[in-house]
Amino acid sequence: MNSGEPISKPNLYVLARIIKVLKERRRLNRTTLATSTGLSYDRLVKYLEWMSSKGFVEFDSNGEVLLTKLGTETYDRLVNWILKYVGNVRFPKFSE
Amino acid sequence: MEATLSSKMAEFMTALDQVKKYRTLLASMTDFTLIVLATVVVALSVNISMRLSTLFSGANHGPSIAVGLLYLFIFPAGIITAVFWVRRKMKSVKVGQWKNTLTEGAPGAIKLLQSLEWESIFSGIRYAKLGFFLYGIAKILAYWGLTSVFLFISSGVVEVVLHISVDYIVVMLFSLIIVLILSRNDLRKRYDQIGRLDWLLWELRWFESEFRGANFEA
Repeated sequence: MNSGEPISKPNLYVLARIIKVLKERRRLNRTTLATSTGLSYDRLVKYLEWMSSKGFVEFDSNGEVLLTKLGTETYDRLVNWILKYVGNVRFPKFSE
Repeated sequence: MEATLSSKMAEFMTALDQVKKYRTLLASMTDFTLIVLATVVVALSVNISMRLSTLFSGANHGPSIAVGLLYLFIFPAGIITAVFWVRRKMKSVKVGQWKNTLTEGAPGAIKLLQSLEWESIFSGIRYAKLGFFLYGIAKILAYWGLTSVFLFISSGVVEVVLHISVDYIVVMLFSLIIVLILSRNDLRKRYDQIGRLDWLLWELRWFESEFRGANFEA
């Protein structure tokens, strides 16, 4: 289905984009998902393989991609994780 | 939750934009100094040429009033130009380029965090502090020079009309006191902003060390 090395350490930004699109659109075929996330088809397929191996996505009989409960939870955990750090920074108010 | 993250990231990036603006202050210091120095050179050249013209032609140009008026116009024009030049440069700094990325929500926030170059940010804050401090001093010196010239001319008029001579050192000191009193709000604001930049530097250092040390396990 694809060529090249499988993903060992995914980019969190790409991962978050795929999950966000799937959260909004529920189920999509790979081509539409690649277009919606702005990824090349090959790169998307590699990410989907990795995500599927982790249980974040699954494929239905038509080959469409679905986000699992674990995928949704992971996304929420990721947002929370970043918020934990960014949320603790107190930014000073600068005047012009 | 995502909205909170986006709004916090917007706060984050706005603070960094402000640092970018302040950093240009340091870069603009050369321009500021050159404009003020050029003003001094022009004023002195005009003064010298008028005196030479009086000396050689014997014509009466009324140097004290004419030169005084000339100074009054050249110095403020130079200093105002220098201040506006710096402000223009600060306004020309491109800010808010991250807004489009942040419309993506959490993925956008992640992308922005991934693209941050921490060492450049930290050095930017240090330069911003230095620029802020030096610009404050340069502005005070320029206004001091301007006030001194104005008071010298005024003291010259007083001397001619009332026959009271005023010591140059007193004029200089008086000018400095006037400038410091008139600039007190600017000085206070500058001091506060430098404190805030320090605060930001510490907060970001903490964030960078915590965030780098942490590892998200998918």
